[in-house]
Amino acid sequence: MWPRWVGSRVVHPAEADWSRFEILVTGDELLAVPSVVHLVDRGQPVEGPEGVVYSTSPRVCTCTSGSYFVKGDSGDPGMVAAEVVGYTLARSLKIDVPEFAIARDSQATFFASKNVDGCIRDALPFVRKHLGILTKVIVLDVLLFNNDRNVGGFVAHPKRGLVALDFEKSKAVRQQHPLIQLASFQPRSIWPQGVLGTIARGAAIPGAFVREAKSLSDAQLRSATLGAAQVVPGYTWAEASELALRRRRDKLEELVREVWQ
Amino acid sequence: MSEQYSVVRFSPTPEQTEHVNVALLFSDPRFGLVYDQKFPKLTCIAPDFDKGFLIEYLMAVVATAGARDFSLAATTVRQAGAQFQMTRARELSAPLTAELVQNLTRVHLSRAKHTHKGETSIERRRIERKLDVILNRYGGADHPWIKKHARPSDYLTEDVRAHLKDERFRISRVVSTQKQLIAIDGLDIRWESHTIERRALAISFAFDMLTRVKELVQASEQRDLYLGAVILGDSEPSSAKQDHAIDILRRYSNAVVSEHALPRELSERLRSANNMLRV
Repeated sequence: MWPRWVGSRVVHPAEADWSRFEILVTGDELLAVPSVVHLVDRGQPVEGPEGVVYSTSPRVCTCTSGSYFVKGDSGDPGMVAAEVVGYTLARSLKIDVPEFAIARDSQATFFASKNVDGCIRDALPFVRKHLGILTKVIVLDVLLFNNDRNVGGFVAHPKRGLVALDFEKSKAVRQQHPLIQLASFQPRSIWPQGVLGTIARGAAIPGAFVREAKSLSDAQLRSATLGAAQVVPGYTWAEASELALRRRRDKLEELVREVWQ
Repeated sequence: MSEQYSVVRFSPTPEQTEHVNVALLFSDPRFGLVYDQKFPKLTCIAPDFDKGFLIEYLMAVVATAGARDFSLAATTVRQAGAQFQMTRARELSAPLTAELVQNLTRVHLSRAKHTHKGETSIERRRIERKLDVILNRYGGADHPWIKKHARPSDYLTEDVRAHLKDERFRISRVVSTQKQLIAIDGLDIRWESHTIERRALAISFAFDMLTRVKELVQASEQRDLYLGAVILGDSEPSSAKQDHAIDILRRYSNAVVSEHALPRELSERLRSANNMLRV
């Protein structure tokens, strides 16, 4: 049993959380590849709040290792890859996200995340109490160019605070030619939408966290993107995503300031 | 205009469990949001759910609505997502008094009293759902060969049943194939102690009846009988009653196992039963 690469350091096997990633050794690289579970049924749609229709049509499905929220039925590998990379980098930066996996059946590949036991899905009343978590997630959204942060992108938990979800709109990963395509989007669009944006308005930039995110290594970004490519068929532009993420990381302070204005 | 109230219903996992009543919301600001701090109905379906957290949420919703505005609070709960439901406002025909509120709390928020052998139907369904989750890991819980809440007549031949001393028992799930008969039942050790004991006795009684005809099942039906009791709940047994209930089950079962770790023998039997079913 070799040491397992988790986040930015090599940890002793006893210390690592073995349930989250499989490790793939390619040449001299270690890639963090999400576990793969197999769908047993196509489940049932997740009901949103009154009047809200989820664009990704998430479903609650039974998989070989329990129930998962599953999305990615649209046949868009970029969407699944964006979720995987977002969740993987969130874990590297110690942002709390649900346990996740890749779900497969004979026809398609989906992104799957476990229910957060004991959570309340309407996180709005708890956001003010956990502004620190919100601002960290905004910084990660800046890195990923995720311009879809809203109150539905969190669930609230009594011990964990806010648990972040939904990175599927991360353009740095989802777009096939991010270096060209990102230029056509307004950086300000990354700021959270609706009431979440209003609440975040008064919060300061989390300087220490920006530095932490800036210290993500090339190997970590490569592991996240190429790791996703190992399990998401059709995600063929992992190297372009990696390059886009590296560029955004390098000027992260500037980008964050731009979004925060 | 007469006063109104609505029942707030909640489910931690609305895709898997039903909603249960958790609070009453009154239009009269003197009462506002009323709940039983023990959340008896929620405890039945989700014993580990943090009740303080739910109270914090509900109070925040009412506070957000501002000055206990009934219709705004009702709208906020409705917009909170699938975990919450709100019944239509009911008009009160009697004057709203503290006594009436207490009465309505008892009617809507107390635990259901319709019990069968010490357990409510909610508790039984909860156990059966958990067993289905386990069976799903081995190929599905809705297969017609899996008998639910099964009577002996659902899975034993008449010849064998003639030798049963008593047929008045049911088992939560019975996997009945040509070669195997796997009876599985569950006990939630987080229940109140008298319920735990009664349920352990009920399962043991059923298993004892089946054990007495085990050889006959093997001889006349060429089927192997296996009895498994699943202990539900993350916590270790901490009281004498819980230990005692588990001891009773051990005496009459082939295996008493945690819901999280089925022993190899049982999991292999379930797998092989599932393969048989596919064939």
